[in-house]
Amino acid sequence: MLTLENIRFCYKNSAAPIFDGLSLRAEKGSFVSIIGASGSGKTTLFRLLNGLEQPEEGRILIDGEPLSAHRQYASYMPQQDLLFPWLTVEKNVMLPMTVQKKPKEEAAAKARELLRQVGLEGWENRWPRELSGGMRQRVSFARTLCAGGDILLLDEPFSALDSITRIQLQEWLMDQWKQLNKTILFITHDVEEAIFLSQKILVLTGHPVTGLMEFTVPMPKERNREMLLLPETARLKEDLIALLRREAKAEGTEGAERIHDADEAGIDR
Amino acid sequence: MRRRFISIGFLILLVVCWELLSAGIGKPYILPSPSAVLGSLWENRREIFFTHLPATFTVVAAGGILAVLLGALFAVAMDWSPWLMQALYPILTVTQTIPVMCLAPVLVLWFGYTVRMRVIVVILVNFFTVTVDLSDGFRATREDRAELLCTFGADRLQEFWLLRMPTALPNLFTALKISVPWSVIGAAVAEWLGAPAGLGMYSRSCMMNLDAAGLLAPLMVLTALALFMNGILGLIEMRLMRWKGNL
Ligand SMILES: Nc1ncnc2c1ncn2[C@@H]1O[C@H](COP(=O)(O)OP(=O)(O)OP(=O)(O)O)[C@@H](O)[C@H]1O
Ligand SMILES: [Mg+2]
Repeated sequence: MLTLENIRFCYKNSAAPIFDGLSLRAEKGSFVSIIGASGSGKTTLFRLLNGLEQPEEGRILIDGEPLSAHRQYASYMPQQDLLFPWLTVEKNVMLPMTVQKKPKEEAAAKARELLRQVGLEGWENRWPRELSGGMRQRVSFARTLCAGGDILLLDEPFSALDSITRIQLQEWLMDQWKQLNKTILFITHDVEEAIFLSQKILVLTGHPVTGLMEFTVPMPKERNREMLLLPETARLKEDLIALLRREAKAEGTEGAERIHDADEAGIDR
Repeated sequence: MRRRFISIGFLILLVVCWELLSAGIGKPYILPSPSAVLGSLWENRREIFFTHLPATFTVVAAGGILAVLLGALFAVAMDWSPWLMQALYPILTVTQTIPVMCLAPVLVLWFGYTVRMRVIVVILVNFFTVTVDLSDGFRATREDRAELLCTFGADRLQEFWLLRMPTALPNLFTALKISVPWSVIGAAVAEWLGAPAGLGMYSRSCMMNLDAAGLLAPLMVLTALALFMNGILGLIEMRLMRWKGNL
């Protein structure tokens, strides 16, 4: 189980904290989606979870133990694909296993299998520059799975995909999740995607984020797309959209000020 | 292909103009014709290709390789330690503007007319360029890629070989390609000052005899040497950087 307790976090070169008193729980083997307005701190949350940033206050626990006691428990898929242009598609997917010094053959076989599963069979020896945005995203996704962590931190993994590929990969991810028994934390902008995939949806609101709004998805683990049309699900979708819209409005008045702050701090993104 | 055709055509035109101009002036000790230069090269081919070219090539190769190794060592050390970077980088960028070639006479005082002195000139001419170029290459490493590697559990050594080195590789080749002609120039100038053998020394002895064609002949060999070495570098670069697409 993953637990965050009273997290406070502030980027070094900015004055306002992103999180203050944030707590979160994700059961082992659960599928949790995280939604929130752009700039609300979703990616920052993942950076805390994979140890790239340290909280100022509060604790992050995995099965009751601090983060530092675990190695490679989480596999992170960043928002940008960050493929290495000098490595072939296959070598890119193998990268986590290369770092972990796994045997080459084993890593290559795993990479080929994953590439087949994300529909990129036959692209193993191409260069990243020869791929479309959606294909690159799928390579990055395969690479994340290759890392083999128990928790998958997926930062908008399907945002650059066309709707058909997206639906295919969503369904594939569902299957993977059921088979592999991994905990998945899934950031998305798409409310419907969050509802279709997850058991629990967390919404980040406010500046700083002090708590998460939690919604349980009223669908069983075995589900299909038609269930999205059920009244309870449709209701949830409307609620979430209304909530995000309210947030966006609040952001509108407050946001300009924050952007100004960021400029002053010389943040180069 | 077509563009290459045009530039070769233009080159031939230039050579023909030179030939005509030289015939017009009619004073071979002032402007020798290309055919006279080639003739001189052919006449002294034994001496040029078997005595002087090997001597120069040794200095160019030894100096060039040492300069690259030394420069790379400094760049890597600076990449490794932010402290060294802050201490050295500003100094290095300033020293780059020193006309190192002018230090050659001092080196003669210290080391005499030895191979060692000439190799040191070549090293000095190239060292800073290699260090600064390679160091800039390392610094172009994208932080988000480094972070990703870190989440895979990579240590610093892995980060270096898997990320920083490949990022800097194009810069390394740029540095190498600049170093080749400068190594040749450095070696020739060092030989000018005085050396038992070498194309620079040969060229100078021809100057003493007012043999303009003989003076230019070794220059052609030096140019060809630099072109040849850069050609090989280009091939290696093309092989290593296929991922970039058409270079
Ligand atoms: N390295 C940084 N230094 C300072 N501030 C940062 C840094 N990275 C992000 N921020 C700020 O933190 C806030 C949250 O950023 P974050 O990237 O977590 O948002 P997000 O919810 O992932 O947004 P999006 O949906 O657009 O990806 C933003 O206001 C951003 O300006
Ligand atoms: Mg983000």
